[in-house]
Amino acid sequence: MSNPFEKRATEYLRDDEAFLSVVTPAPLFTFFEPKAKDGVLFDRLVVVIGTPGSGKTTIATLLQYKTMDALRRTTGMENHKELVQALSRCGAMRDGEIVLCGCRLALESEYRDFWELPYPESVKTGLMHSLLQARAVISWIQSFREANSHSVEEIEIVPKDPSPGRIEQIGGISGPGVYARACEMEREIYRIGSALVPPKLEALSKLALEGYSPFEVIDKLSVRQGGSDSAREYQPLVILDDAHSLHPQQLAELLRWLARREQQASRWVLMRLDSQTPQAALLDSFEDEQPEEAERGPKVAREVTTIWLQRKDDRRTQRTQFRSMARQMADRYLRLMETFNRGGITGLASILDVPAESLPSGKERELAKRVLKTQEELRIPGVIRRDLEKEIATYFEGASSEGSAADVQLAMLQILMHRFAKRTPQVGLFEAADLEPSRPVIANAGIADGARIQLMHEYGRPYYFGMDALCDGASENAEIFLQLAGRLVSLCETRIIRANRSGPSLPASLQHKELRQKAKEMMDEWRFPERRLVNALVDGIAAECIAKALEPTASLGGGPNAFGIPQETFEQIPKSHPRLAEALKYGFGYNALHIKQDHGTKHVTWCLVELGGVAILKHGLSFRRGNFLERTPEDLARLIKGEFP
Amino acid sequence: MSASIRWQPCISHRPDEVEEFVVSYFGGGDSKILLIAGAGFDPRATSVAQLLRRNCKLFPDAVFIKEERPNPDKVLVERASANLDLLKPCATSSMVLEVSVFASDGAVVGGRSVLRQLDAVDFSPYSDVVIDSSALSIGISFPIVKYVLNRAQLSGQNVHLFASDWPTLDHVIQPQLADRASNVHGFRKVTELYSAASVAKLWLPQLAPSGRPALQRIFDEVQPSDTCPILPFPSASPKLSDRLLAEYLTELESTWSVDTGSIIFADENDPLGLYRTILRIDDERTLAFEALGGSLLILSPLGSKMLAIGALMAALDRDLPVYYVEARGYEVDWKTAGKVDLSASSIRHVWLAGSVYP
Repeated sequence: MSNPFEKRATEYLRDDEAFLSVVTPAPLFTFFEPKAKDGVLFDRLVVVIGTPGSGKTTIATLLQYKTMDALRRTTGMENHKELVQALSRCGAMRDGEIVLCGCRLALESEYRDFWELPYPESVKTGLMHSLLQARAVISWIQSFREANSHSVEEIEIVPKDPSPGRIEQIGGISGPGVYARACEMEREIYRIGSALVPPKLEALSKLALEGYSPFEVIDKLSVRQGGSDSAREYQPLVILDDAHSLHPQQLAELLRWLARREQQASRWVLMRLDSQTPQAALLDSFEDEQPEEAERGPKVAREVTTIWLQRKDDRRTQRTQFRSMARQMADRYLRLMETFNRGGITGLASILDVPAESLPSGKERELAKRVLKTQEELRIPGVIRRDLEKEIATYFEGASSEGSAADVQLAMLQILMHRFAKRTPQVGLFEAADLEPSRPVIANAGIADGARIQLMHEYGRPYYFGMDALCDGASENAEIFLQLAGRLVSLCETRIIRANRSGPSLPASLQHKELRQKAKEMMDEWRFPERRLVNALVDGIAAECIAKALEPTASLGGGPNAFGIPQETFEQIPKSHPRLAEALKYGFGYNALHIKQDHGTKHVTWCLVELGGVAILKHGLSFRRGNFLERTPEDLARLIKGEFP
Repeated sequence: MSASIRWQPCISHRPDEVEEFVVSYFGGGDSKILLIAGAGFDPRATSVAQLLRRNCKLFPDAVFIKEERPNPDKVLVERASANLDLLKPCATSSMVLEVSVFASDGAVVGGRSVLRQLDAVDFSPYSDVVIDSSALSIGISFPIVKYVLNRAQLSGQNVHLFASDWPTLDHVIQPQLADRASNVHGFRKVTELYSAASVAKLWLPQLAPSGRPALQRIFDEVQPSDTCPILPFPSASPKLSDRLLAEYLTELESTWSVDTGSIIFADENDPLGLYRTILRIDDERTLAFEALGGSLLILSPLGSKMLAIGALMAALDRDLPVYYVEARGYEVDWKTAGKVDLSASSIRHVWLAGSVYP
């Protein structure tokens, strides 16, 4: 039986009903609703930026007219109300009716190819802009014809400026005229762009080169309803997906053109983070371009609404939001699987949220002996040990959600003893009464995390299990989440079928093993540009972080998962270490690494180069953010030095 | 009723017949040959040139193509240079075309670049154009073949396609993939015109070891209605098919939802067999989908060079889209590559156009 978690996201995009059954509206609420409230979603250019798998195409698909129409028709769907509510709050629907006619154009390599044509820049960009407009018009009209079976004769455009010259160049205002003109333009320009050897400039037809600007002319699309005289008007929206495929200059020209105030149609541009230059990608400088770049692009802040999916601010909230979104998504997928449906299993969390198995008694005895040995070596008096044990017990009383297994308590005790020894002068075994550490030794969540990490590495105790661990391993990326979850769901399905009974949870040790194995496989399958350099960076950072995490005092609790580079030196990386900047850009763009800028610690502003969730899973580090090793760009460059000539 | 088949009959020579053909056809000295070949790191790069050198009375003129990729591995550069040194003496006169496969922004532009440079070459003095695709990526070799064939239709030149194939060698040369799939330049795109009726898309990916990431990207790009994977069987390694089925289990079962009856078995050494199979499928689907907006086959040749030739011929014959993921670079397991026996003849010849086809 097929596992919906293992299907590619694009599979769901083909069939509207299938897509609507799994899509979650959370990103619309999170990222788009605030902008809609400000009224800046449809009156100007909107640029949406995110990493692969962050949901750009899903959002574009949801806003297509035909998808919204399918939603309107299938009112019985479980998440129908939520989706309608999200679309209404974003201004795409009103009182359950569609007010927006969205079409998505994927900017495939075909559009990038125009940049390679042997013509002046103005001709190349003009051809591409005309093709985009022609296809948008065709898509708008076709979506009415397909979804509602309106005939093309029932469609009219409402022009902004009714001057005859402008209307004539788009084929008039009648549906058939506008459609025919768009088809004619598309055919002509496609022929030029796809030619094996492009025609000479002189051989280009007048049709391809003459003015064609429906985005400037079309204010609304009007559709007559079922033979009556009443008509409904729709705001046209074109969503240009995957704009990162364009040449940077082509993209800048496109943004500048779309940002022009003359444009009447709503227009969104969706692109990936790594489409930016290393400078821009690493430093979030889309809004702070260099003067020479700014000349080409639009005046971003004033004319463009920029929406960053999965971005820097308030990462704690983002993680919480993603966990909630991922749960919804997983539960929807799970309900598509007959095996789980039959067993009444509707939530992935019910399968995964189990307590960790403690160490086997033999290993626990070994740990206890080791703690005793540590006590002797560090000359910790019995009374101090009892105090520390009490401290640990008190911590667990106040932290009911955390597992307080004996093995974790022992490992914490060992860490606390090391900390105690480090903070007190060396003393004899019976001088306990006067012992006072320079700073109090306390048990907290960091120590507990450190203990669990050390137990994982030293005794193989499961660490990665439960729904939250699964979500955190996905680095707030839906596609990675589905890949990781798919493995666990498959395993669970097999167990249910084999045992011929429903409901068995997956043991923590099995989840831990499978997640780490899957993470390793995913990293082995990395095939993005500069992956060798990115691998070297990831492995190098991880090795040093593990060494720190396994220090007896667990000075950084669960340990670091990042290198911290002083912000000002980090900003020089694109110039001082261009190859490193490239590697960081791709690592960042493909979720292997995260960049957290302006992180203030110890009166210094740092830029954290953090490992992505999959790398953390593979190498066995903590998901807790904020702990880092102080390093320099040279340290990062050293990690990749052997990887290029 | 089936549509016409362009290469039926097709003049081609198996590896054990190639040398004899070259001696008998090119050995007389009547032909003026232009050789177009790759001058890369691939150990197969020199096989065809040396075959011609051994057997031709008159050495060919040559256009050697160096595929330039960003930040190449030093070892690969050295090997490519050594291969070029071996290639040059095989030609009376030669020119080297340095083709940037990627533009500065990472876009795949190799196909366009090579044709732009090839367009400046004077083909008129030559009776025969020999294309050696052994060391050329499909993003370069496919457009070249199409371009040369188009020219030959006007001039009547003979066009020969040679490829030297060692599947084991293909498996040890692992590409670092570009971030998205693209169609081969000059070949049809999946979505040509938005104004055209939508067709039922059948994707025929050729399965190859470690090809999953590439095929996933192609799948995302073409979004087929159905998938019929091509499995190399029989193949030099008898267990290759089993290994591939295990490797692609998730895709076959879930992602692509392939029925067991939808797998195409293609003899790894028989490009014409695959060519005819693809055409037969195309004929049958054309009939079946005639009333439903039509059918479109999409090809993705990965791995074996021989099967790639079959796919190329089908694409040329029926104007089919060819999708692939360009390599930004290569990682080669030279230890294993060193163990591959390159002395055994494995060159195949297909006569694509010219005097034998009246």
